[in-house]
Amino acid sequence: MSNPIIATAPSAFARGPEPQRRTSSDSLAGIRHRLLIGAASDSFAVASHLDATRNGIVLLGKSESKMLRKLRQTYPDLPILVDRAPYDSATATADAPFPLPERTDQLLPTPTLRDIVDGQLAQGATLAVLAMAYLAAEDPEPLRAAIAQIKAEDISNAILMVPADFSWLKRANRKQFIAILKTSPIPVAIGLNHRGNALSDPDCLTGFRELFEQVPDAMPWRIDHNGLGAMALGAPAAVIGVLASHRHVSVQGEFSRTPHDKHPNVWVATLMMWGKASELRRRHFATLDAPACTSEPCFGDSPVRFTDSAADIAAGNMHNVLAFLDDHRSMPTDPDLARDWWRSRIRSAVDAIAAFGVRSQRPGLEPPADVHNWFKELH
Amino acid sequence: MIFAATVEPVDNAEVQGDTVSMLRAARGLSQAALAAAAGIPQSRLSRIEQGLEVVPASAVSGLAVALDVRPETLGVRAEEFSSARVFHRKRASLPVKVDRQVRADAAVRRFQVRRALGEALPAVRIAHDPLPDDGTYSPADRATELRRRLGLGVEPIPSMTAVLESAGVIVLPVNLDSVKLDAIGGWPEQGAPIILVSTHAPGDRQRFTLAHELGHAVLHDGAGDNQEAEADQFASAFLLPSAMARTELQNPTLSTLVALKARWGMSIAALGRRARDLGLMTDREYRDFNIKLSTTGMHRKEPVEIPTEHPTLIRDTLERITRTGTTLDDIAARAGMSVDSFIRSYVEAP
Repeated sequence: MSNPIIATAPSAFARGPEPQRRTSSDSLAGIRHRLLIGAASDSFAVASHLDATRNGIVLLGKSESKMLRKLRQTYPDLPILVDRAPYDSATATADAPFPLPERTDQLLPTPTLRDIVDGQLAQGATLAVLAMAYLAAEDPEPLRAAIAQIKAEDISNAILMVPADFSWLKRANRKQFIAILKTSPIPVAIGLNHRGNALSDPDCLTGFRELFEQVPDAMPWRIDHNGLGAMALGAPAAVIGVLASHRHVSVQGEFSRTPHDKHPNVWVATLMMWGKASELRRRHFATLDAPACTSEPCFGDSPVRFTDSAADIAAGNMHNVLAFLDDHRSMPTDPDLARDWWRSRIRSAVDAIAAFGVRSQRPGLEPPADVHNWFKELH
Repeated sequence: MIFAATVEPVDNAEVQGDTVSMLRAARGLSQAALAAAAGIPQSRLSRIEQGLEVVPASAVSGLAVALDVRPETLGVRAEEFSSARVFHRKRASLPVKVDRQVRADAAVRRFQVRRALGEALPAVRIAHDPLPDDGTYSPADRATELRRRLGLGVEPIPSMTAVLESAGVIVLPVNLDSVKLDAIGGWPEQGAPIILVSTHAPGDRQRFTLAHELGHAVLHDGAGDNQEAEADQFASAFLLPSAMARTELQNPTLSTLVALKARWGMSIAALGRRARDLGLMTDREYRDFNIKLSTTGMHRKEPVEIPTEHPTLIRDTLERITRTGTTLDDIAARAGMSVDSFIRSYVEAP
């Protein structure tokens, strides 16, 4: 699938700050510049599409250990990370920033962070992931405590995953959030908890941009297409989820769902638009053809054609993955060029929406809120 | 002896020009008005204020009466009034002249209270604790820490005034409505912080204002870019700690916020902002909420009246002092005031 990027003069684009890098030995060497896909039971299907030199996979969920061993045997060179997502059901406190596994035998000591890191690496993970419990709004103590614990145990070869309430990106909080994240001795990954898309709020989008520009080697975790934006701003990698539930952090019981409609949530790359295939057909493509997709499950067909059959749901999800891999392949690794690429990508989507609005006799059709916010932020 | 030294009698040669100028500003008088009241030419008053001319003996008493102080107060050096960190919460932009007046008035009151009550006041239990430059601590952190230090837990604060007074902060309700000011606070280098709070605000606004001024006292040194927003963040977190807000402001509606207003003593508008800032209300929900406030007229007058608070520290301290045999006249003299003026300002004040 190709991106219809309209060439615009890079010189007109104000350069952002040079992304900062941690200068010590590159603990992220195994995943740097890679687009990582967050997957669960569909990991093998996803892995078969990945290029070990450009991509990687993050195994999400409780049974990741078994999956890790099997995947490692099949794909010895593929970067593989694991995230048990303990933040789904635990809120971080200053006393317990990490929801460490409970002791089943009182005679055994509680596992340390070092034990967890060693365990993941021993099972074949490229890099260990230390996932915090959920970081609630306006409660920085658990984050400080997590970083202090990492320092105390002298942890390396790991990423600190911070599942944070989206309000940490807002003007009132982001200065502190960024300042504390900068004190982490290991790279940080940020997942956002939000009822919808946090970047629909322009204030959050500004915070998102500032975070990935200012915190060395911070990367977005469990995100959507905006992960590519973060990489363009300097993030060393991004974890885009296969399923909608893997494209954000979900604190138990906080999100509304639409269980009646099983159609896959599909990505229309040209328009940078998400939606249930059924909903997109009804709202936008009842009389006009949707833009075609050239990736393998689509073969030039439209991504909004998917039904709610099990096969179509899987194919729809795979379409999303392949569309992002395609986008990522076209992103330059040079920081300035990557930033220009993202700006052009946003610009082309805004233009495509405008053209689509005219064709569909809805000249005022607006781009998705996050795309609109990126456009305002970067142009 | 529990008081600071009495104001010494002054002769005409010792009148301090700067002090006359500051007292005049505090009373909101022009040079022409004060000169007329004191029976001297304006040009002479101008030179007196600049320290270029000695006050004629016949004019000292007239100046003191016009400035509502005892004559000896005119001999106090101006530095004794003004060495404090000062902050104020405005409702509108403040003209320079008015700003000067409220600052001077606050300085005079700080001087009077310190002289009148001095060491009889309780020890100050708050500390100036500015945020580090590296940004790792926030105003909300300081509010949480102060709540912990004052033993307030995470429950609602029944009286913000009582909390401040128990921490050694003096609260003085004054009429600031004419200058569109909610409060002016100051923390002298030696002595207790004093907050002059407007008597015209409803109880919920008054409580927020007091918490806001407390935030300034804890966080700030002087003028700064983001200080008003930081003091607001401090106030929000002090009045409604995030640990409780995350539970109580879940899925907020107008009717739940009305109930929470009564519980937390915060305006519905402030509770809505708190919900938005904590991510419990999306921006769109917050916009809808504000539209609803506007269409129901609640943005002008909210339901649920929060009673205004009344400080007791000064009155209690005066009672304690007078029980030892010291008279109000003695106390007023130490403050450089007539007893009538002292009673009007500090005993009968709302």
